[in-house]
Amino acid sequence: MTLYFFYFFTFIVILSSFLVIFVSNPVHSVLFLIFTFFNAAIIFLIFKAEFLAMTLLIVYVGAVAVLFLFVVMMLNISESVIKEGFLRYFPFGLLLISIFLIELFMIFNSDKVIFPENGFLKINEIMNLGMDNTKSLGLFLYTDYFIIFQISGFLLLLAMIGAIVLAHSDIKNPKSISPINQKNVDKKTIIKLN
Amino acid sequence: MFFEILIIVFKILLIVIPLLLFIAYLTYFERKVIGAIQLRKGPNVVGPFGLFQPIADGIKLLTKETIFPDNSNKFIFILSPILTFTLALIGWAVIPIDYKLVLADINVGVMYIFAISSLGVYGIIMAGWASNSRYAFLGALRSAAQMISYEVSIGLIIISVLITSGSLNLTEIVMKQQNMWYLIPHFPMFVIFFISTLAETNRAPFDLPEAESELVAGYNVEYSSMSFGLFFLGEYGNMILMSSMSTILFLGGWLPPADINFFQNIPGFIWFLLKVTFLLFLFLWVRATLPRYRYDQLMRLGWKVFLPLSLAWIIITSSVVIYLQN
Repeated sequence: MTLYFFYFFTFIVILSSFLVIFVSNPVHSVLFLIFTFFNAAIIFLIFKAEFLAMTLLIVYVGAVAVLFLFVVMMLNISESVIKEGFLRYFPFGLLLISIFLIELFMIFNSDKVIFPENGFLKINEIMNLGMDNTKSLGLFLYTDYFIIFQISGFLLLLAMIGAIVLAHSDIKNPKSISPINQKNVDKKTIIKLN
Repeated sequence: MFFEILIIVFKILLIVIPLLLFIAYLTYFERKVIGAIQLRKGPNVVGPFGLFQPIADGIKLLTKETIFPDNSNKFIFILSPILTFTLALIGWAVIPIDYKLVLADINVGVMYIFAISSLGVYGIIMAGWASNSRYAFLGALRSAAQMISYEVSIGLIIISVLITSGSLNLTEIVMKQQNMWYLIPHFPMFVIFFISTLAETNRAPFDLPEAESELVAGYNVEYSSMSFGLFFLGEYGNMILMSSMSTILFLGGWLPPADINFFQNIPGFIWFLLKVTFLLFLFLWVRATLPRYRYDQLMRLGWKVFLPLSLAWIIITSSVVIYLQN
């Protein structure tokens, strides 16, 4: 039964991720991307990785994809512009895809890449002890992989600061009013009765 | 197999039908409460005390014509109210109304509810885009920005509650509050959580997405008949869902307020309902009292006040928890 569910949802994931590329309307393709994320979360659920499924929903569907949709809707890209760029970006995309595919093959063909040499915890053992998903993942991330976890956190922080620095401009917006100044307004100087 | 599915469907109906009645009478309750605050009578013509008013409203909405604007994207136009309403209902799958009185007692219940409430923004933004109208689109963009901003602080507040309870399961979170409701140690966060739920459900004073004076009605200008009705029901359903969420996180769910014999005899779901109704009354009270926020003030409140405060609270909570453990 679970296997059929798995095949069904992977089929939907593959189909909708193809539709992301081939649909002509950019807003529709973002919506298909969201649908892909959603079904990927269901696949996680099938394999009893409920924490990952919910994180995928909250982070990607609930926050990242909303901003995607936001930007695509606001830019109002015409459909012809997207089709023009296809041949120009195709070689670059092919390169990226082949790198990804080779990496995936390398990971799945070798059996010693994943675990550290002197690790104290094994995720399989923790799961077998009967702890739930969230707890075992937490025990795993905050002990053996703590440094990697911290480094990835700092990378995200760096990306955030970079985005703020790029987008920030020193020009004061005359329309925005500071609430502190607003509070400090004196009645006598503002209202004048003639 | 077939029998099991039938039982689950029956259980779902047992949750959904009372919920729909609750939503219908919440609109009646709202009109009565706001009427009382503004020294009016509220609805009092249809039935005794106007009790059949929500049913009359529902029939009126159903019999109106459904209008599809020209150049609208028909599929998404129909899909978005359905999505909004469905998301308002499916959150109830994990809400424990009483001890073990819950459809699915999953061990990531809090995250499930948080994910469902963060998906709610799609119904609104898709409606705004699909109706191909400037007013609707501007309302949808406002709403999306607002909901994402306040989700951040809601998430952080939930984390500080989770640190104290040590579980993501909603039933366990309530059972941990037997000695003391989280309202007492987390009182500032309860206030912030309540204000954030006001913003998350697009209610006054944060109802900018449907600011009548500037955007006509925001994202649902082009909707009529039952497609509007579904948005309306979805909004009220979300209000109830978020109120029950804050009941579970801070007000001790179905637990009685004190360990007195008389209180223990009252069944738990009545306490739950009373607490949810109290929070909903706060929603309506705020709506009748406060004027609408300006948009930049709303964003400032979310990012510059609530976010740092709730982040600081996480650090304080985790320090206290570690101190008490040693």
